[in-house]
Amino acid sequence: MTIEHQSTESGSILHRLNPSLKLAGLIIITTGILIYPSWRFSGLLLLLTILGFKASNVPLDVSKRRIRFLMAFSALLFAFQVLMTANGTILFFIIPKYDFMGPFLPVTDFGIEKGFDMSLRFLLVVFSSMLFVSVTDPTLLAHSLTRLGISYRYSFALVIALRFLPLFDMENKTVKMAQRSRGISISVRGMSRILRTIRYTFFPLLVSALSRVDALSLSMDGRGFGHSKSRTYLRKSSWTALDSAVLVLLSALLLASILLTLGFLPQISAII
Amino acid sequence: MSSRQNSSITTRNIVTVAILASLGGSLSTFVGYLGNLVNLSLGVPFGAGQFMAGLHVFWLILIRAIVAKRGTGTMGGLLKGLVELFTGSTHGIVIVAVSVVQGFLVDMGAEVAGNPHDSGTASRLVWWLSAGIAAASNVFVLQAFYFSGAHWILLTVIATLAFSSGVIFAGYFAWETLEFLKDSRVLSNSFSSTRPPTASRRRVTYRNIPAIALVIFIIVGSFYYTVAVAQIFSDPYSCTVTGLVENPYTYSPQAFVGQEVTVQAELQGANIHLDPANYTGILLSTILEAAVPMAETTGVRIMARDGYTILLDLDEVMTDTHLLLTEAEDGLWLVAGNYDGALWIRMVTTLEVY
Repeated sequence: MTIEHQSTESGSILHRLNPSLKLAGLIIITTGILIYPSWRFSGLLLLLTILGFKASNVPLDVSKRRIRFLMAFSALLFAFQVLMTANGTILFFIIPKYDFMGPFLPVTDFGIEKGFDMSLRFLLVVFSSMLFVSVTDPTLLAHSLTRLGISYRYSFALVIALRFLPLFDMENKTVKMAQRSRGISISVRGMSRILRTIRYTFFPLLVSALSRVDALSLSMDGRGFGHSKSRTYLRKSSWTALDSAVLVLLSALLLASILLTLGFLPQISAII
Repeated sequence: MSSRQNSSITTRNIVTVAILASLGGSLSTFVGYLGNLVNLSLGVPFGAGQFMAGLHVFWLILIRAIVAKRGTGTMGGLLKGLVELFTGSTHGIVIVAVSVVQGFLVDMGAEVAGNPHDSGTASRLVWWLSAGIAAASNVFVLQAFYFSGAHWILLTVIATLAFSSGVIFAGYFAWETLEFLKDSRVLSNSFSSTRPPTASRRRVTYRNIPAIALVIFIIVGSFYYTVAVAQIFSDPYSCTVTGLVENPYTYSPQAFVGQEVTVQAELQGANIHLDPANYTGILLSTILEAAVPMAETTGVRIMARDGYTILLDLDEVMTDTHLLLTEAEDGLWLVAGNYDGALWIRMVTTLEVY
């Protein structure tokens, strides 16, 4: 297990932004499209996100399997909304009238609009999250959270969690290979086999993981972790004028979402 | 050492939460793979994978049981969600929201159930049920993001599947795992004291402010969503008559027995046409008259369960003898014989006079 699209050493604007601001941006975008559900608004933000990938020189080269999943799930969301929405101008029926039967399952313009809204919302959430991960260093994120007032003892937990990922991934592979060498294969046929599969995978990993707790916590205590209210850092996040400007833009975006929902911007809501 | 910063959470507690959240996040791929295997074995494209939902909550239950401290479930949920976000979850930041809600529900359950290590059958049952509820919560969080308008029967079926998974994998299996860890003596020194050291009242209040804020946010948010957005618990054969009226009320056909009219109407849409048929129901003018619209009102906004909304002129509505609400298999339908087919509305929930 590796950190997806791990932050690259790039000098792009998005890379240089404060990590907490980027997290706030991600939350604002997600909240904004929830407050003002519009496929045009989601589409516009998705376009900006894709431009963000370009601007930060982050390749959008996710695996084919993942792209397939994203597209399939997006299509599923679209179909689901179209089928579940009965109101609007009926364009056609999926099951047309035959003799005295039907018609059933109307497809309406409102349903299609909602379908686009949901599928674009999904793609926006996923791609904006991917962009966030790509341009954010978790260690700097932990530091910036500390600067916001969160105790470094808690924000450091994120660093620990991410730092152990490669180790657990390696151990997971080792456990699987060990099981295979003993003739134990993954099986989901029946509850007992599912539990057996999970037990044989989880138990060795759990024991291995928990056995590291004592050593790590003693080591941290021995180095004075938690002794002082503040600590020193090798790498620090910073807040610049650019961050302030982006914060203003993000606040404006959130405010615009609220005003659009409340109907205070009718000219703009007619467009997006 | 660390007790100077926070008297209840030790460095070992933090490390335990972080490591278990990391392991849970890293194994989410494996859990997803198992979910796909279940889907394949049952021959369905999706949905049955919810049978594995409990395996995500398993880690949170384990965290809350091993580090028996208030809030560690939510902290574990947040960390696990962030780990999944950084490892490329296909749900993006939504997975953080899902995981935090699950952790919070586990914490709530733990508050009721008490200490997991010397608990009786009733306490254990509460732990298992809260594990089930936490597992089922993912259905509703995801629904809020991606499945707006999903039928409550569908949601109930999927949530029941997830709940069962939670009880089995995050309840029964988590307890079996705890027993195993105790037997293997991995936990013997790791269990924390169930009685946290005393702290000053002011300090405790200050420390709990984020938790109180989160609880208020979730309660207000859930209330708003249930009442104003989802309307999932409302009677499908009733609708709210509201707005600029002197007598706002909830319309129900039973209150208008004897005032039904039957009209013949045909749906004439831009692309579709349905043959004339007889529809029986209560005229919209009768329903609105009962609410007594105020003098300055000009129109009526009609809203459906799926969010579809139309506006009609009030004067035209009050004189229209082919505009009625009728009972259909999925709720109240607005039959608008004199209007375009787009104004025929299914599942009407609100009539708002403005």
